[in-house]
Amino acid sequence: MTLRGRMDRDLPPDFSDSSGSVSNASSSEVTWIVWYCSLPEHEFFLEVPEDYIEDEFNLAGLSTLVPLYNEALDMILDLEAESDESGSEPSRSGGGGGGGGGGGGGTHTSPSHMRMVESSAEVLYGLIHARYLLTKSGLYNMGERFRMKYFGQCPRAGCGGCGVVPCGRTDVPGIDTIKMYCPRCGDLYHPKQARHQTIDGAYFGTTFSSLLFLSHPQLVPGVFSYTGDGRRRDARDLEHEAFVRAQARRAEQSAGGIVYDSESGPESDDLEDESDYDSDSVGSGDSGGGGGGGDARAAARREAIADYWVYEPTIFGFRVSERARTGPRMQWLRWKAGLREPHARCAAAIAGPAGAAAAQPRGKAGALHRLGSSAEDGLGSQMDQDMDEEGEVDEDAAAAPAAAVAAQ
Amino acid sequence: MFRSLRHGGGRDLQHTESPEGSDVSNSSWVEWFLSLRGNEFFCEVDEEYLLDRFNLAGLNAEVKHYNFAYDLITDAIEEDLQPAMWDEVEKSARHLYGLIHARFVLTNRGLSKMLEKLKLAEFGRCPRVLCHNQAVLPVGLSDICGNKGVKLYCPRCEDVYSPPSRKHAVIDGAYFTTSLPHMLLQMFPTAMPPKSNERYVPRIFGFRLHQSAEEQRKQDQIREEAARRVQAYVEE
Repeated sequence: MTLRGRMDRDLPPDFSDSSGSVSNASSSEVTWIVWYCSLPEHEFFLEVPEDYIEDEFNLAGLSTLVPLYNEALDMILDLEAESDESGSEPSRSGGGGGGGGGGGGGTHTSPSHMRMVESSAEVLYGLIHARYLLTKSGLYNMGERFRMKYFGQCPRAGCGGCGVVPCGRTDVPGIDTIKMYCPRCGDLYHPKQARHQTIDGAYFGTTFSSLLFLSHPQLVPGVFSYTGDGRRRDARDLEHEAFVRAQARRAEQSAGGIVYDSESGPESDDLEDESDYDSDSVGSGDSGGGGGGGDARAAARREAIADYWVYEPTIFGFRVSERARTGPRMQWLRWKAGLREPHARCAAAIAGPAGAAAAQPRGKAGALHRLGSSAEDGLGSQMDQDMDEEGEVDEDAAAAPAAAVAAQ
Repeated sequence: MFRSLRHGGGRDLQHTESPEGSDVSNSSWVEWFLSLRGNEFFCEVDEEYLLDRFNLAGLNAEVKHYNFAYDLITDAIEEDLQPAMWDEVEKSARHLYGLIHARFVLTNRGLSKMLEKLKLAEFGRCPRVLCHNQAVLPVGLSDICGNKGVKLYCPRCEDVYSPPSRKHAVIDGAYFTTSLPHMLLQMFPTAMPPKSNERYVPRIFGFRLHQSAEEQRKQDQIREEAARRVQAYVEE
């Protein structure tokens, strides 16, 4: 009953008001699965169809992993009220042989027992969920969510805003939390929001993320991406657009009288962290007055993915030599079929075919921001553009910082 | 007294009204600026550095109302200005501080200040799971202002990431320069974390995937070649 209490609390006020004292009416309208998946921290979960759970074949072996298996299953399928009335519950739990069997009828209503059943139900639902994700409909639904960037974006700048999917690092519950898998760089990241960092990774499983992209290869963005009219989408342009958009939004907020950056109350903190979710791609939270056009734009933005690129460390525009003690050692990590190999690549992956496009905003920005002495910067910015032609400039790079520091 | 001048715009009146307002008024403009939400990445530019005009060469062409903005930063402004003008001057002052900051962080003092912040992980941690919460450094992708936001550079995986919080996405990357993390690591090689060859291997029911395994073999090859080149150089 504690569960129902929580459920009523979580429902919108008008909903519980209309149901009034008849709590059974409200509980029959929202099943446990729908309620569980509607919790904000469980938004990654799919609603597993009841007929999938009702098929015993799909649950083979789970009874040994989950304590209070039968009661948990009844809770998931909302059979609890009926079994209480019919009195079949004790025999069910006796058959299950779990810890609850010996307790008899008296323990069923005790809050501590209910809590145990609740946590068992969560584990059981998670494990069923991990299996359901590998079915055709599970993969399809998750694929659609991935396409909409429902799970957020890859935090790596060079992935151009590719979507991610949840992924476990182990199939055993209670060991590790979920991680986010980016199909473009093939790496795992921590979920951005704290409320997702407590979900058990086993509820999504290790297999799902790989199987999704193996069975739906069209979902994986290639190294280069194109817009509808066949133009290349340069990651740097997209970055620039995102930055300009963020600044415009800030200016808008400050004009509207919203205190945006003074150390203000906690409510603005929460608001910002909530809407952080996909700072640029999902425009749902930030612009209320957008209307239909805004939605279309947000959807287009959601689909937009830019070219894949690999970061190269530079000092004043000179690449850092791999011979330096702190030189690049991890260039292999982000290599991908379709890119040139790091030592042959020079700056092609960064400024190569898109170099001209990248140079444009530089011109538009007008006044050049000078760093340190003008000679260094002149060289640096020129180097930035000419790096395609110049292959081996690394040796100077190690000397540059020392000279710069001396100059200061 | 000076605070009320500074906040010509109505939005900051609360500072003067709130009980701790007097407290804030006594701090310098730079301290106030650093205490703003979203400005945690900036370090405090030394006063001597700010006051040495040599360090500011060329900036007057970049910033509107340069003299007012400079006076505001150094807490030396005396004239009474229109509220609209105040907003502009304040905006310019922020921009100017960013530009000075970009120069300052590449000096010895600036680098050691940033190192302290790195050690306290004030810039956040790498989102990559296999970097095991490595502290990151801010980096720009362009040295031109108004171009791209600040990114975070992880010295362990040598990659750049978008800051997780939106309040940092509006900060100009040019205020941190493209060189900062690499310069810092050259200056303080001990800050460089050990590298690892660990990586995520996608598996389906425990089996590796052909495509990713092939790609990872190639990556291993690239890594070994690079290691050989470095080894050959060391032996020379």
